[in-house]
Amino acid sequence: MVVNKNPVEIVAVIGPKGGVGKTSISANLAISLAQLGKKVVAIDLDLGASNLNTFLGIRSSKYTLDDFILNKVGKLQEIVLETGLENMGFICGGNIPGIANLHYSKKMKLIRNLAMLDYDFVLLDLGAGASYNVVDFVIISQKSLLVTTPEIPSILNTYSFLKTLVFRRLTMALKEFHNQTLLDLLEQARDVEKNPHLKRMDDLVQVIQKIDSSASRLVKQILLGIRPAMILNRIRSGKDEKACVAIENLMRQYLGIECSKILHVHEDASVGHAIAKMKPVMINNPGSVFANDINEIAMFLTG
Amino acid sequence: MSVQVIIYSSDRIRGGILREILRRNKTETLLLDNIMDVKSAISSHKPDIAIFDTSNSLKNEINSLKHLSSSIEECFVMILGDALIINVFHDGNLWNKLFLTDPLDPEIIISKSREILSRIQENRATVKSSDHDSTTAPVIRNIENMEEKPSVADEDIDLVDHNLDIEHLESDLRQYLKLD
Repeated sequence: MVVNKNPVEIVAVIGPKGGVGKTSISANLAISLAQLGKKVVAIDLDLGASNLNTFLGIRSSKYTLDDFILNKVGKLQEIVLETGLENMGFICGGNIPGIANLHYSKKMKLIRNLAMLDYDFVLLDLGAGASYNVVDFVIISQKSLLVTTPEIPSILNTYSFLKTLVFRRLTMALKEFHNQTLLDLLEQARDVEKNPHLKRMDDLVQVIQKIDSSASRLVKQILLGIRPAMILNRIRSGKDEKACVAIENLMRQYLGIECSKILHVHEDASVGHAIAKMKPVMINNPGSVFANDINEIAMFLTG
Repeated sequence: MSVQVIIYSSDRIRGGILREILRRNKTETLLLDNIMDVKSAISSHKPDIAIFDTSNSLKNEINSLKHLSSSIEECFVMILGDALIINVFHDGNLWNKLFLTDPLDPEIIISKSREILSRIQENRATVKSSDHDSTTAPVIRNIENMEEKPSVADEDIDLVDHNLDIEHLESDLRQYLKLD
């Protein structure tokens, strides 16, 4: 067996709005990474609404995530399926009732197993929304790609997701201080309407500083570490590309975090054609605008 | 106040966005989230356009909207939402209907609204000058042909405060997120 010497890089692909093209991007990005010679496994973690297999053209699967969740297999590696593509494996999503509300112990078991997978990249195709099950997989990932379209509802949901992510991460960290005042403060800061004096992250950090300076240092460190990349999908004009600037400004001012990169994916009819044929765009039309944009994202991930 | 557009949406954010973009386009709008209110508002305000956003609506609300939209003849009806849901509106009277599938595209909605309102104004002026009975139905029927020539609205579409203008977008986001 060839042992992969490099540590696995877990990449979370999130589309908080839903219907923004996240799964299409995940499927094709996994192929692009594999074509760059990276060993990749794409995992459908859109729990309860999985369909990554259809974007990869996989009609049936011997194993799914259900087998792992229901303890029918011991290790996640055992349910990795062949895709027929060199360097690329796939784990089909589960659809057992209640899987979307994955129990904490199951989630932890899954997270432990993700880190043990023998791949260069583990690509997680996560569900829409901002449930803790989605947020926690983003927290354990080395890189996260937030997919949005230029429309306001999608941008709003992306911001809300980021806010949930930031507060979830800060709550986890501040719990270690066993200081209820700090946790109460975080709770207050979530509600900017009732507590406008805490609406900016700088304001919150200053108040934390007065309570416990080491806690404020930790908060700053955590915020520096949250650097999602944003994928602006379905761009139709040069003006569409500006949509991310607004959310970046809000992220900086109110959440105290920065984007690591803004990546563009242009509107392209080849996506619809490929989906209709149940074939990935990277295979069906590798010279398309969409395929080129996906290759750019893969290049960003591989550094 | 003369209401030109009545919006129904049970999705607070989408409804708010629709109202805001139309308001900025100097269009008098009324946003409602109750179908019974929409019905009475249409008969009392006699708007030029009714926008039915089906997003987030329950099955019985979709049925009521379908019933209501098929009975409306006095104004233009724009139906927004998921393609699968919009399909149920496709039978019956289609001459005064426009279907726009998700994702919600403010630019298209503004463009179409301006086009419809402009045509209605034109037709009203024509009907008035020829001293004919100015019932709304013939005015609306002329809109069926509106794709034939470009409207003035298309020429300055870039001026529409769509989410592409960063300052406006940021201001909208602040408002919806209650950060102001």
